[in-house]
Amino acid sequence: MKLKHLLLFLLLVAGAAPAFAQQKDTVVNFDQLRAPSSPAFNLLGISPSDIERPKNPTDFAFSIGNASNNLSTVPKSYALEIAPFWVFGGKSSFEQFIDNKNVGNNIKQTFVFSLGSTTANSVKDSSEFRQIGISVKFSILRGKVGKEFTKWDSTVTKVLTQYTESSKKIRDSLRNADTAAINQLRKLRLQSVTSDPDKAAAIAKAIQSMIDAQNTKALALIHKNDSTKNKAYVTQLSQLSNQTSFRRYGFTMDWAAGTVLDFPDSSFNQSYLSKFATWLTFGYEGQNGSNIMFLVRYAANFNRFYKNDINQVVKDIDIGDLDLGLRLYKDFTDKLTLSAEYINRLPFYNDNNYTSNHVSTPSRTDKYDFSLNYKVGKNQNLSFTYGKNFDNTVVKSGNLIAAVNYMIGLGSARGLSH
Amino acid sequence: MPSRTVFTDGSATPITLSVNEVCGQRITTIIDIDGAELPAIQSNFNNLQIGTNASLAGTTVNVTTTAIKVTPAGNSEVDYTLKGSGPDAPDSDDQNFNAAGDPISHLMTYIMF
Repeated sequence: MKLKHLLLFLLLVAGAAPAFAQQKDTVVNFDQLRAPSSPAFNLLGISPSDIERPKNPTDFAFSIGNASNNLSTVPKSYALEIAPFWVFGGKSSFEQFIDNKNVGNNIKQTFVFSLGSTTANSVKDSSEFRQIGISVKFSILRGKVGKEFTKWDSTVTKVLTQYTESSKKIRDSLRNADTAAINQLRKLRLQSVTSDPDKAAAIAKAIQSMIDAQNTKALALIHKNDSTKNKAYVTQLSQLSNQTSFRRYGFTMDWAAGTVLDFPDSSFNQSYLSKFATWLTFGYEGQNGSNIMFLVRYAANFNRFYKNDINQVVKDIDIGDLDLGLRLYKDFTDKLTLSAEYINRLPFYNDNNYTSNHVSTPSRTDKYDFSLNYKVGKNQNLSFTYGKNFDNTVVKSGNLIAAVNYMIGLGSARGLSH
Repeated sequence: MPSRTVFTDGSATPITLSVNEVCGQRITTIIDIDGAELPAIQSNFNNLQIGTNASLAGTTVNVTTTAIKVTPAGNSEVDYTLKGSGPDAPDSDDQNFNAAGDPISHLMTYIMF
């Protein structure tokens, strides 16, 4: 009954939309209240399919050197993401990685540096120039791991123990072959400990060499993973290793900042700051599916050349926007999810500069979205999104209305009667 | 893949073992003394008593640790520290994960005399 009322409400809202604004059939860019995972790429407006993620300092130096021709030219198309703490040999235990209480730990472990480059065309003369985006992002508070982690850890415990047991058996089999010889050497050493300490030390060294050789052989056999059982363990463990972006609950706070530099002659000799943005997002995520999130974002564009309202190219027009937002999200059941988002945008600009250059002054504006997703079956969702963009265009999308109409159509079918 | 020769003094002084993965990876460790296995330990641990100077003399202590990749670090480094007989400086074993992120085994052996 409740769902029926909700659907009716959505139908009314959808029907009323054209009455107060122009309709635009595009998809709302939902979830704008989270800082982008790589702010540098976001600011450049690129979605690179191939992002380099160096695993050690050598990889990092090679990647940068290779892309920039040893720092002589600005790369044309490049994307790199790096977690410096981990790549440059930071020390941390697994327990510290899971923990969320120490703010210092949270920051250093989640610190991600991104670097991207692309090409753009000048507003002044359409000439091509290169841009580099640089950003940093980290979590100040990152919440506690929840039931997903407990389940993951329990599976890891089981499979990792089985794999370690299997590795131990490989060691055992090699050790057994050498046991008699090593025991004989141990006896010889004991006999000469007091009478000939040098001989005793040499025998101890010989035993150690035999054991080192055993271990080298054992490690090669273990990592070969040629038994069916071991292959299965490795497959499972590799899969589990890829599932470590644990969902976290409780209070979270993330900070991100990024900037874009323009290189007019595509070399490192001359550059201009063209964009800057910073995000602070904070909120609470409950294990019961409720989520509230706040956003404070400031984005600035420093336009060296700008096309004004009368189509003239004018210089040095700076535009800044402060966004304040709120997002509410709720999973009612495994099937129904509701989400609402509101962002208020406050512009910052130099009034005199705008007026004298014939650039229309921006005004305060806002944006909101309401979204519903209902899972009707495996890989089948009814979705509906309704909202208003900053430019006052109404946005409506999803397949819910069509589906409801379809269901109503089925319900009104009548059979023939005699 | 370290090993160490340890010279015991025949006393009742306990010998303890610590195993710590320092790159944030998840580990499991199995200790065996001349093949006699202790229960598997599912994480880092410190100062686990494995015997005394007297009881461990003449034995071989084998420590088998497996690590799976959890953090963005491309390697796994395990510090093994034996205390109670001789110097207690840690022995480290550092290995890189392959591209597929397969588990890594660290093997440590203490040859007790």
